[in-house]
Amino acid sequence: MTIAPDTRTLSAPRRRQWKTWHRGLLASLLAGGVYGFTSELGVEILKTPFSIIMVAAVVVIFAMIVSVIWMREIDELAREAHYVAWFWGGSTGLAILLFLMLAAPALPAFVDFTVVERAVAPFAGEGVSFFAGVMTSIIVLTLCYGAWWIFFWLRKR
Amino acid sequence: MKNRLRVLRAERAWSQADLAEHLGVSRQTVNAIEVEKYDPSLPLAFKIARLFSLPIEDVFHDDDASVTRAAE
Repeated sequence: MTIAPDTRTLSAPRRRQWKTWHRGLLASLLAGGVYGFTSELGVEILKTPFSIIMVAAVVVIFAMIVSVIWMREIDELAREAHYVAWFWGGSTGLAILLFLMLAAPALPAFVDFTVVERAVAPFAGEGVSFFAGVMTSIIVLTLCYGAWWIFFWLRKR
Repeated sequence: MKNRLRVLRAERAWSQADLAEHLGVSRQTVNAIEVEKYDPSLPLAFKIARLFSLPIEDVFHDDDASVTRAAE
């Protein structure tokens, strides 16, 4: 069973996008497989601070390379959707984050931050508060980006 | 920006997907141009005009007449 459509029925840009998507997915699965395999062998890749930073850097560089390839392959309207989402989603997200930062001293009266910190603790080690803050920023920005991207496509239908 | 893309496409009995394939863009882009929700870039506009062997102004026309030619 496959979730991929019959690529022969897709337009040229869509075929290229599927190719990039599949290659990115394959590389991610491969990396996950290597990590799982080495863990089973008792080799802990994410053991030292240096190795964690190196792996994080490799993941981000890989994501950026895929993003650049993706942006070059999509057509101009799809690219425009990302420009709009980047500007307006980013601006909206930053406005929300600015509000959250300014209101931070009052927020513990309404939100139990320890719940969030406990939830992310397994991934964050000692930097749990920093991790929770960065994760909040990423979630807010991603949600705003996605909302503007959807809004753009609904308007262009 | 107004355009005659739907008419020109219909004259050739092309679907939106056919036209998209000729232009190397997605069907959604062709649709957005046809319903005048999106103005194509100049390179794409020229590509469309070339595909139909027409001058660009026979495919696209601006409904803003506030700017007149300098020579007039």
